[in-house]
Amino acid sequence: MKKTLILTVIFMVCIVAVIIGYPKIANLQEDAPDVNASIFYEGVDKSNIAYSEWAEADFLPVDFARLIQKCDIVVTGRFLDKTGSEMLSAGVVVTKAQFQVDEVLGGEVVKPGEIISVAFTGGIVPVEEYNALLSEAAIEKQGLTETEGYIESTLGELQAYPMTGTNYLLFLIDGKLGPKLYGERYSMLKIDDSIVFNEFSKETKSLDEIRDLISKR
Amino acid sequence: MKRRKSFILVIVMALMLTCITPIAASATAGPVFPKNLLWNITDIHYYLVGAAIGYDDEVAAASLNWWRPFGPGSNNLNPNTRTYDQTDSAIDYYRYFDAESAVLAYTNFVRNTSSGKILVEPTVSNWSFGRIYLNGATIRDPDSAANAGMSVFHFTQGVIGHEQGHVFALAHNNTNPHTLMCQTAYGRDVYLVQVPDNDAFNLKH
Repeated sequence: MKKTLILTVIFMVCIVAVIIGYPKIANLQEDAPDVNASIFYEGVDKSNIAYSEWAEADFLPVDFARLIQKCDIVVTGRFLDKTGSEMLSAGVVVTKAQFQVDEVLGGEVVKPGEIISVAFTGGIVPVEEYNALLSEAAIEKQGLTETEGYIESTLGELQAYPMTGTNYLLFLIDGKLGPKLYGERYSMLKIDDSIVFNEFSKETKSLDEIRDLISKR
Repeated sequence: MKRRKSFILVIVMALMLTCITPIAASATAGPVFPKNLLWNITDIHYYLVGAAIGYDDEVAAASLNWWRPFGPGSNNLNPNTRTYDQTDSAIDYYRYFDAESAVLAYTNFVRNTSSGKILVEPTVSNWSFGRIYLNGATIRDPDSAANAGMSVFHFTQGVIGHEQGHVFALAHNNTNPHTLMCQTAYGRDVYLVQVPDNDAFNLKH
């Protein structure tokens, strides 16, 4: 009898915890960004996009443990605007955006309050610029016959679509492009009430937990 | 008597279920895209562009592994060998270099239409051919290969074989890490084409 009562109480506590906790996690998971409102499209008239590319990617794990291990720079803050997109090499486009840093959780090259340029894969470039790195045969084969307008290149499910006015936790690697999103979309985590949700690994952590993990690396 | 009959019936049904289950399991194909590669599957060649030539051994090994002309587990793919004429290739390989990325490789789906537009989402449109981009900074990473329990060569071959699967209209199979179409990030532990991969191929071609 006593055992049943204890089990019932535990069950009820679990139900209450789920009811209280779920909306916060659900909000982080389901509040999908409006891609069209992203700075990805800033400064481009979408009707001028002559071609668009989609990709399926194979990538390394980007759970919190790996992000913390791999990324030199971990910061919170907000995107301000897009600086521009450029060709990294034939067929590969990268975009750079201004990011206002609020807090530095990891790394020494960035200071709080600083505005840094953050790079990520994908972007929109003039067709002429895109074609400049391709051979004549490749241009003809791909049907890139339009020389006017833009080409939109995305990484599919990995594509980052930063929004202005949203607080993010970024995991960055500093290299020849400057600070870059290591796991693209999966290393640009929306902050909601000091909590972040990793869409790849489905892990939820507080910023305090992230700070703690970084301090131990 | 009636109870005995019912008992026998239940036993028979249970035996039937036991027989059916393994058959259903072995016939499970991995997921595929709703749309397909338009290129004739019996005339597939690949082309290595620029620095991608440095990956010719791994690309050749991955291509040969998809080619299964005979016996059980065969498919219609042929010959899946290298061409030196880019207009003759269903798969073009490019190499880029991004050391600041978790991306190993990716595939674009290209459709050349009369209007010159490229319509490339494999869930929306068929595609004329595929372009595979190999990230030279990560695809031969010894740590990643060690994590997957493979040699660097086999790890790279697995990534390339996975991307080829996309060109052939296979989607990700992340619930089964023992398939080539599972992404590395979700724990793929094989580098060769597996039964669900080949079954998925045969669904599309």
